[in-house]
Amino acid sequence: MYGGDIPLKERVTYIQQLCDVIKVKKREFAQLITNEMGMPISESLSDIDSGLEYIEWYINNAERILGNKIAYEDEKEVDKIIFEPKGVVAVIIAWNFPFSSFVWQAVSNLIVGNTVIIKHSQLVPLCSQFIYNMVSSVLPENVYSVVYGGKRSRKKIS
Amino acid sequence: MIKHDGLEKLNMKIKSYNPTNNELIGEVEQTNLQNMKEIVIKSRKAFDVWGGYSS
Repeated sequence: MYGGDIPLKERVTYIQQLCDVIKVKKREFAQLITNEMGMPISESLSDIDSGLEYIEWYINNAERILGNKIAYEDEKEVDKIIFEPKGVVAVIIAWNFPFSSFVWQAVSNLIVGNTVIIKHSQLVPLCSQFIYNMVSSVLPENVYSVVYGGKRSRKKIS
Repeated sequence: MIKHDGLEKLNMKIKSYNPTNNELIGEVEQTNLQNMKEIVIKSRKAFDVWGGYSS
């Protein structure tokens, strides 16, 4: 069995801090999404609001879903189901919802305990950089990493 | 929008343009192969700390 130093409860706290940072930066980020990929500002704000709802759901349900479960128990023994993270996860996502796609594929992995190497579409490098700056202001170093590039990068990362 | 693609080994930059007026709004360094290897190694080390048990 594998065991890192940071348990689920602490990871949830980190993700809550990330959620708070995103809320503070929401307007600035929405404007960047609009500028970089042409989404109307109302939809850019919706993309962020929707993503934040997912993050809050992850935060509120992480321990219920990922916490240890007792499969059997009597006076002699306790059998537990323990969920372990897998390791480093490569995430390659499209351009059209730069924030929601990040939430669905990267934040869920971060809460589980995997570290993430992400490659956004080459069409939204500044959105990718903006997200990286928010995440790295909260999470420990190298837990979340970014690769910038096109098709060749995608092949190498996968 | 991107002006070039597949030039990671040349340490090129990805330039980003506003699609409504074609104005340059920023650029980032493409990640070359060597940097990518370093990122993977660091990410593995980070996992040793980050990936604790559920409880």
